[in-house]
Amino acid sequence: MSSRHRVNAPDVTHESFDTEVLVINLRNGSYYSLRESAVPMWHLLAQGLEVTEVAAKIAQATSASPEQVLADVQSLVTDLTKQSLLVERPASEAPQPAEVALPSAYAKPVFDLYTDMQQLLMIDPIHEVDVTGWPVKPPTQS
Amino acid sequence: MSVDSARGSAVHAGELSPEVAARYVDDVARSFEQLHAQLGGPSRCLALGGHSLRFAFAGVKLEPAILSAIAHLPVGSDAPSLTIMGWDGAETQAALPPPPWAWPENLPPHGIFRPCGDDSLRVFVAPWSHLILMYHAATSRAFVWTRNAAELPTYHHASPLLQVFSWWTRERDLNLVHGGCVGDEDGAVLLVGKGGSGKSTTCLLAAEAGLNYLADDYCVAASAPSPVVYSLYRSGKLHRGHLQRFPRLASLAIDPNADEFEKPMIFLGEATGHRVATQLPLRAIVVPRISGLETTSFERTSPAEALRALAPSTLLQLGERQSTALQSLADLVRAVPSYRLNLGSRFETVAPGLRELIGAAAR
Repeated sequence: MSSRHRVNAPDVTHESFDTEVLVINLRNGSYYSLRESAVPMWHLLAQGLEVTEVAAKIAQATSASPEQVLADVQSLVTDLTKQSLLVERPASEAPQPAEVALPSAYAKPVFDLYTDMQQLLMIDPIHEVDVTGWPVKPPTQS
Repeated sequence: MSVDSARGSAVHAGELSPEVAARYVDDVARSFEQLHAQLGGPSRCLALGGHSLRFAFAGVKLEPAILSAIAHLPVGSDAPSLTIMGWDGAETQAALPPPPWAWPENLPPHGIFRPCGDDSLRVFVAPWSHLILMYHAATSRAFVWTRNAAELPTYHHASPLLQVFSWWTRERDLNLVHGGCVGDEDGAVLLVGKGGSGKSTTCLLAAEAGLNYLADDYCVAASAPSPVVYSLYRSGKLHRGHLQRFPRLASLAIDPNADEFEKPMIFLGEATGHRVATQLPLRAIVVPRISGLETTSFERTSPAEALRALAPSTLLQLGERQSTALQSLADLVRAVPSYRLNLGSRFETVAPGLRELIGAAAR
């Protein structure tokens, strides 16, 4: 498995602020708040940097323990891929490094999951159509 | 008939060509024109967000179900940027022309279906309400058909054509947002958050206290050239608690088709003693929460928290899937300050708290 990733667009959309990234999975209705060092980790991972490259950049900027930062990045990547927010980046798709604001002090990544909107995405089976071909309520339901 | 026998050889879901979709839309428009020629029916132009909308109905039964909630909008020009045609099957004895596509096994989330697999033609189907909406962006036409307007659930009366307005606004640098909105002479605040956070109660309390009412659930906002919010529906939904808390409003409530999920509603306006504004400068995004304290207070919060309260409920509720939609909502959040409104248990403190907040945000 590649250790380079990209955002799982178009199902996943995200917006960044200085201290938080809001990520929404439009397919399953979950949304996520990334804070603290999860913010630069998200940006660097989404650009296609390897996990080790992300950890090295953040450890260097914050003087944190490289082993600790690497473990945190790996844990975050596990969460992000499990939630289908990041997917494997094809080998043909080059990384797109760009300037990312890095913190001077290290704070463990925060990754909060919200599922309170998922019921909005429930689907209805189409059991019946009327004579003109448009879906109608099943006759057993009144 | 079963959906399997109806599928036949029709074009597979999502694979209809835009040309065939356009011809089908022409067929639907012709059906409407023929019905209108036979039966007559009202038409009206209303303005929203600097654009004109033309509504035309064949027969008379559907019009009140669609226009009552938006009757407060200003009169629009004769050059509409969207024409909406509608009829009621029971009154006209006319169905929509058969769709030229086959239905998938499951209705997609929100009942929103894209026959061409893109946004050429968007269809909202509510089998439980026997309601169908269609929006064809290329010809700026939309259609609404229902089997019987008298059977439409109350929430369709409260927020008619919601999906059509969502699609149409998105193409015009406007945002249809999930949020309540009230204001005073200094401008308006947009109250955002999931159901149960206190939005609609706050809006009703504000309206009862003499503030301008713009929305309790959905409204239209734009961030540029300056932040502004437009009222879309003058309806207010009444939860069970509201019926006890606002006996005067409860006496004015209507519930065209009540069922266990329904909330009765009220159309606010002069007749109910409320001030309804159609447009105000947007001064702040407000995230209400029940504080457990007696008095209402407010404090600044981050734009990220405001977007977290606004965006998921808006995008997921409306079935939005354009990646630019979140950016557009973020632009709105960045254009004005954000506040947390700590709702007090003494309801008489809510409206003064809001007025103070609007004043602070406007300065």
